[in-house]
Amino acid sequence: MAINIGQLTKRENLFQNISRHYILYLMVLPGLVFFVCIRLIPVAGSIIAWQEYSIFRGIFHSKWVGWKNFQELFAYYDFYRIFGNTLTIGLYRIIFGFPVPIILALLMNEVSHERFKKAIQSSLYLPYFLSWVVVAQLFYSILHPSSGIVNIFLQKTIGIEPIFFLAKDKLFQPIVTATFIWKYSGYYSIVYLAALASIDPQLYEAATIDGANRLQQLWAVTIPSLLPIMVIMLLLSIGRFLEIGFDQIYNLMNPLVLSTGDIFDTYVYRVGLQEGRYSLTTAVSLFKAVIGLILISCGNALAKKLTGEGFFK
Amino acid sequence: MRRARAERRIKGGGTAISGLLIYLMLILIALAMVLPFIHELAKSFSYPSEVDAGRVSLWPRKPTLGNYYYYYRKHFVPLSRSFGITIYITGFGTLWSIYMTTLMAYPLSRSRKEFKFGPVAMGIAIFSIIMFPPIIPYFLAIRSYGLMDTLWSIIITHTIVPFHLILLVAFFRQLPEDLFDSCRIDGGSDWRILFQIVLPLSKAVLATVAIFTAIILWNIFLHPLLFINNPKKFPLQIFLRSIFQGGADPEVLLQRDPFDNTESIKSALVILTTIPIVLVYPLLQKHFIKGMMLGALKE
Repeated sequence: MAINIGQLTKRENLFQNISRHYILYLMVLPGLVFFVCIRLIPVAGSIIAWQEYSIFRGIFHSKWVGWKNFQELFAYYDFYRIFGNTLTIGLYRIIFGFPVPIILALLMNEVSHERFKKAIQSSLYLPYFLSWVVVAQLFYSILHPSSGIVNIFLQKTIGIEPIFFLAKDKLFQPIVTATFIWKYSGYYSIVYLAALASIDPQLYEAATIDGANRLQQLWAVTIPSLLPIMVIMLLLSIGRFLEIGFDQIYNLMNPLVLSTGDIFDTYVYRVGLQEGRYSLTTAVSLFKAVIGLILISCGNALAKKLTGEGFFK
Repeated sequence: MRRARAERRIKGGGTAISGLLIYLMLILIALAMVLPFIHELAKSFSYPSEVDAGRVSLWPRKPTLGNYYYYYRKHFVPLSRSFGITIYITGFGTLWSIYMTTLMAYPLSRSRKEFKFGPVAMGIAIFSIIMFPPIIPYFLAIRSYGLMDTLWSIIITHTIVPFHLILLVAFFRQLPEDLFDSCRIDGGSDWRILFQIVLPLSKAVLATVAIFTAIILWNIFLHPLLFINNPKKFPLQIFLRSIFQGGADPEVLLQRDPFDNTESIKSALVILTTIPIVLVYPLLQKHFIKGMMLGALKE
């Protein structure tokens, strides 16, 4: 049998290996073509950041300009504005968005009534499945100055004038954070619920015998058991700090809140694609990618150190 | 185990008040999730002028089906077409992606003795998770492949979602090797192993990955925004945005149709597009939670 002979001969060259397992190599081919053409070549195409790219000359005939685009970028007021917006939104997300799923999971874990739990969970996970186009419209609708329920409510209770929340630049970043929490908290709480379900019940029994009440059990058993996954999730979200998500911002934004809402991705789309400044905005993307890479590798290294496991196996 | 936990609750000494407080908080949170939809429902069944005057909060006023009928009157063709396109992209794209991802995951799950490029290919996949191509070169590349204004620009770019590939490789690796050996002894090739042994054992994980992919494709927005300019090929989300963005244009206000560009028709569209998701929701939820447990960390 071919297989056994193969295992006996220790050294075989690549050609022999391929001819013996050619089916495996054949199987991987379409996927490899995909990764090279769709994912790697465009990354390599980022070299246009060092060019004066022109559509008519193409990537091979455009003029090379060295670091000029980057210099222009760093001398540009807009750049610091969008960088600042990205950082602030990212920070809000972590400060306010990170604890919510944990609290949700802890609350749900205390519920022993299965049907009630199911109903709550169903309502919490639903927003995750909706697109940002729909979620943004939902928020526009409830915050609408004349017909939104929030303004109707405020008018009836406190009697203040209607506020056009989504047109106020100071409110935009908090609203973005709120929509993020609204859409994703349920989804992320699943991770913590899974971790909670895997805690050994004997730990609780032991704590009960020692006379711990529910709150003490929370501190002594539940939180320490959740700590590793909390660390991983925190580091993961720090690693993806700059990934605010184009869909969310683009759909929530309007020209009135450009000063606080514009982030890297929306800027690249607007100035790059719509105004045709290809090279400059590719430099923006590359800057973002480099910072992102540094963040995620730091996060990964820290995760390995603290929990013994990185993000990727 | 459940009994142990139930016992804990009895012995745990939690007071009735704290228990009640937890239930109350959860109900409030659930309301925050559900109330916006009830508000939308109420608006969508109300007459536009009532909505614009701010008289509709959680119950319709001057009930009408006009907001829904409006789409039948004015946007029937583009709406149903974009629905159809999204159903096609989601259905075909998901099958295509599952097939291609499985096909690549199987060799990657084999030992280095059998398949030499495993680590290299895994490296490429992980790199692709961390680094999505910058938008401009991505756009230029896809355009140079001649995919502009085709639905293939969406399907081909989602041939393999790197995270799903890694999920499947991890799953295939822990399948019992003995089964494979017995198939080999019977003279089965790797094709047969993949289709007759690996796939039947992986039904659950494949269902999960299929649902993940379907959600991505159903909600796809940036890709068509970049690659599709022809309104006849707009997927649902792009069509939705075109309606939602319709502001109260003074010229439109002069027209006779009291429904044009009103808040109430936008609410009706939110409801219309949420209905399909609610219909498949039980299925989504079931496989989805399983999947979250599978790959909880490896995002």
